[in-house]
Amino acid sequence: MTLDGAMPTTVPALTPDLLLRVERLEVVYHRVATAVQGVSLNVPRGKMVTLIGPNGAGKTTVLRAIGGFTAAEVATIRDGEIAYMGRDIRGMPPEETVRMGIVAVPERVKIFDTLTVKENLRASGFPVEKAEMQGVWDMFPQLWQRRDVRAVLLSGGERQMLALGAALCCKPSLMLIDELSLGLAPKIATDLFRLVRKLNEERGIAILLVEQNARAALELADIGYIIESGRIVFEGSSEKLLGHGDVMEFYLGRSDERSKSFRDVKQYRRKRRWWG
Amino acid sequence: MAIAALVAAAIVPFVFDTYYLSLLNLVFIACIGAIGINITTGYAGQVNLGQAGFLLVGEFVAGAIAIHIGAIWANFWIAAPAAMIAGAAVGVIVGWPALRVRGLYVTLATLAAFFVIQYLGLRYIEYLQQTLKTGIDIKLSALDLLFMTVSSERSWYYLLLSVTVVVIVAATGLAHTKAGRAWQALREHELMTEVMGIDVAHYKLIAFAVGASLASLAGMLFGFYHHSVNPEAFTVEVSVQYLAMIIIGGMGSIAGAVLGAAFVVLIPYGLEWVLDTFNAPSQFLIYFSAVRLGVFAFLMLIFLLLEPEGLIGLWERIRRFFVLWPFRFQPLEEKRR
Amino acid sequence: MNLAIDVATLASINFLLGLGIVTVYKGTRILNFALPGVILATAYLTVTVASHAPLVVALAAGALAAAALGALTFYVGILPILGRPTYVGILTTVAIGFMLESIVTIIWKVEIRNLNLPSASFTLGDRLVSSDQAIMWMAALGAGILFGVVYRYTRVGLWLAATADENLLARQRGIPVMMVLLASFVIAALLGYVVALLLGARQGVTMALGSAALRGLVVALVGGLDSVLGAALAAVLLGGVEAWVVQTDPRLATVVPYMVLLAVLIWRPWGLLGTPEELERV
Repeated sequence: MTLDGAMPTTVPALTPDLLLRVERLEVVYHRVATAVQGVSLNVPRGKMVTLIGPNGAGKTTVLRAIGGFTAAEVATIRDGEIAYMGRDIRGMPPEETVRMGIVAVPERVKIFDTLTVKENLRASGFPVEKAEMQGVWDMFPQLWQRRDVRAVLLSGGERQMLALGAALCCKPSLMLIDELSLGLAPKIATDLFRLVRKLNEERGIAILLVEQNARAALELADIGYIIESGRIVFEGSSEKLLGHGDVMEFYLGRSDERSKSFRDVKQYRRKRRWWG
Repeated sequence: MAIAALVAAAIVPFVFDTYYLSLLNLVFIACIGAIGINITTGYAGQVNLGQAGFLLVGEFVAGAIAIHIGAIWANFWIAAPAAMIAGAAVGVIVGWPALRVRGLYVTLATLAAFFVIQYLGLRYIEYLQQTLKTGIDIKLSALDLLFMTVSSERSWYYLLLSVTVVVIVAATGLAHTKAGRAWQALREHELMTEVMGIDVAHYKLIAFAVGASLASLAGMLFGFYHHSVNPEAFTVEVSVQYLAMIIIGGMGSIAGAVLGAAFVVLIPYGLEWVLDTFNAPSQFLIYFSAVRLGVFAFLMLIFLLLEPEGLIGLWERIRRFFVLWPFRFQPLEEKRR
Repeated sequence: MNLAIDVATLASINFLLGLGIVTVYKGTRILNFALPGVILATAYLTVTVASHAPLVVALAAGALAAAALGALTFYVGILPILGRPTYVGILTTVAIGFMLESIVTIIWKVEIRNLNLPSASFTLGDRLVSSDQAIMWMAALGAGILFGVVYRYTRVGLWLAATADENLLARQRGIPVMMVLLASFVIAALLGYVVALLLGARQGVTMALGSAALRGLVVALVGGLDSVLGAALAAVLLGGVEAWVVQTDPRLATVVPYMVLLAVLIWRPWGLLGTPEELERV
């Protein structure tokens, strides 16, 4: 349901400004464990969308399904549609989705540990131009200083910068970012959040950001989806979500009313789910 | 259950003729070696391509005792500890590089060690043949058990059965000690094990020592069983066979090792029968050892790709299917219990 | 001079074999134990075809078979087990290698066959050198330089390194991982085929080719697994030791590489020119 109370149309009209459309996605691990059950979400062209929710809600699984690397894991997409620029990309392997401009920045900042920083930027299926590299160096002067250092020796923040930089070298039109702030110092995380927003605004790269730090993500993004137990429970523009009492209550950990007991919250949630 | 099995095992020699008994005896010897490699490879995860070398050590101990010290000393109670100690010593030497390396390096180290042992063995045989004038065939006397001499197929059956049972019990016990748990941990993740404060080097060496001493025991028994010392019988192919045993049977399971040993020893006989009945071209029979090798390699590949838990895993699945039928999964309640 | 020529020849064989192992290792972190089997099968196939058809056809058939067997190793032994522990990969390649060896024995009955390549000879110093020996040196030198350059300076080298490091991430970056891996297996098999031809021409095609091919593993490990230069150094070292020992005890000479390997594993486990971190990754 949307926060306005109106039911969303099941199949949104394919508008030219819709970049990615996910419909009723169902993903199953090991053939038995359902991680995502019927998730629908949209990423409009040039917008920043965030997907937030508690641990194990299925956020990362959604990203994996979009990027096409469920096959490499033990997951299968059982149902649903994934359309990108009006093309069906469901089940497409990662080496093909990346060619269409879907670039993933994976969780726990995977980079090529054995390669140097410079090599990490060049290690992609595309020819990386000098200008692009220069763009990354300009954006992260810190990386330029350590360009010939093996990536395994970088700090957590530098790793995340390198991961973002390497993703930029793959010419993205949609970036799937998984847990940008995980394990980073708050200061660095804030900087990176701002940077991502800047990329989105200046280069028009659409972003789908999965985050645990719900407040930071919502404050930056245009649109937010809240996922719980494999289902979208709230969706809407981020101002709406930030202003909504339930969202504040459950996901941002702040309540305007008197503090409720856990029992109340649980009952309230159950009610919402029942009616929603 | 166990007693019934033992009684049944005790009656076997009176039911089967010597041909089948000799097959069983070969299975027992293979069992001992397979349980050995199951400890090094199945439990501790150090892929060992040099099992034939360890077997060879045991055979040479048998030869050395029977030839140098004299036939009176060809006594099980001396030969068995001697073979096990020699095996353990060689195992520690071979495992030494494994202290600093892991994974593929260990495999190559064991293979290299095998070639070195084989070379030394051949030189030793040459020395026996030329200096001691033992002749081309080096004959061993019958194994003595103090109260009796093991010579008939039936007496071998009882001896090998008892040794195998002792080895199975000891290995099962070992798997549940601190060392057993350390091995399994280091198979799953070596670095993590080290971080947990477990002395990886120490337990790796123990795994090599125990595995090699059991292989050496099997080799010693093999030598006395065939009354000869014949290093040419122990080729790389033998090492592959032993690996095949635990892969087919089920890695890291003693029941699997026993099952795999029986399977690998008996399958060539079945194969021979198949080739005979279907009138296979003659080269299949002339190069039977090659056919055998190919079949083992093929089975190894199939099990690795399709049933990594081996025959034991397969059996578990079939059993579960019938026990749970018509359901596919265990009810949650039962699991909790 | 005599010794130098022998060392050069042995080192060239060692190096080509080692290079095949290094090539596969760089992309997959797996030692290709199937290579000896591939070498045997292609050598025997070439000899058989050569007795019925022109040599060119036989060589083409052999090369094709080598490429096909390399691809087979990858599709049967490696692709289905990607993501499983390394030792599974070792065991599947061992199994494929022995299956090939078994098939070769059954078909060709362990015979010694002669492979007649056109050859000429010339004198170097006071010794007659046959052309196949010279070809071997050139092949080793050429392959060494080519592979060294490819690994260090081209994108393909970077792709290999990236693939070995994080397979999935490499795919996400648009690197054609499957192609890279397949190519490395095919190239390794072709390198092995070159050795099979040259060795076969020198000493006849026998089952001993298989055990000679195992030397490639030793060379790669002594050199340091991911280093082309290390493999070259190890090839020369092992060739030198072998050529020296063979004068006193020919049988010891076949074992001596393994002794060197054990010594290196104890003294410097990451190999002569390898990186110590490589130890942590296998």
